[in-house]
Amino acid sequence: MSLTEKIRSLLSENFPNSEVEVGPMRGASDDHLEICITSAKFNNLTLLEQHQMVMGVLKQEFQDALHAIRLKTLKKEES
Amino acid sequence: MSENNNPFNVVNPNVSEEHAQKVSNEIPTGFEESDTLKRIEKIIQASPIVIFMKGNAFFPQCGFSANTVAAFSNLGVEFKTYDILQDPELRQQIKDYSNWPTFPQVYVKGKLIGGNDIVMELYHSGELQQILN
Repeated sequence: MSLTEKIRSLLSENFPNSEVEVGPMRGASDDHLEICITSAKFNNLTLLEQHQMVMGVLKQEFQDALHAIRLKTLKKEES
Repeated sequence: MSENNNPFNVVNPNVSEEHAQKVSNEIPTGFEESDTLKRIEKIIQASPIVIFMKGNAFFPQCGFSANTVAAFSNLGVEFKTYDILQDPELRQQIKDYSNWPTFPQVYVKGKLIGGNDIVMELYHSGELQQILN
């Protein structure tokens, strides 16, 4: 499984009923990823807390193969 | 990495060295304290804006760190930087302290505001300027 697939799978598990997009970072090596998550889990959180929630999920990955991410978090309106 | 190929959302890399010198100031490695946790606490109190980064404002060793420095330079505010590449113990420990596994990490008035992506969001929305006022 590629790093991209592994991270996508890990984030999808941790952010159910959310949109999780993971892709390579343009112009960078494979251990740099771009991540965008739209989730209701962010709804009552500050921007810092939203990013910390994602960083918490990826903590071990940053110790292993993941080097850097660009992260965009969006709140999901309850339907 | 060439500029054409730069994956980072660079604000304005053309900050003059003179300007960078005026607004930046590197905190020396080991700053006043041998205990790592206490050192972190002293460093984040050393200036209203402290950037833990790879390298320093003149020679950033990472595109993300360079970009964050450029944002604060463009705002014309004073900030201090700390080179985590020179301090392996602090580099590890601050990840737990801040619950944040990457660099740069930006502290404003002693509190983490985030890494490069958050700085960029706040910079482009104008909120960064508000936080600093």
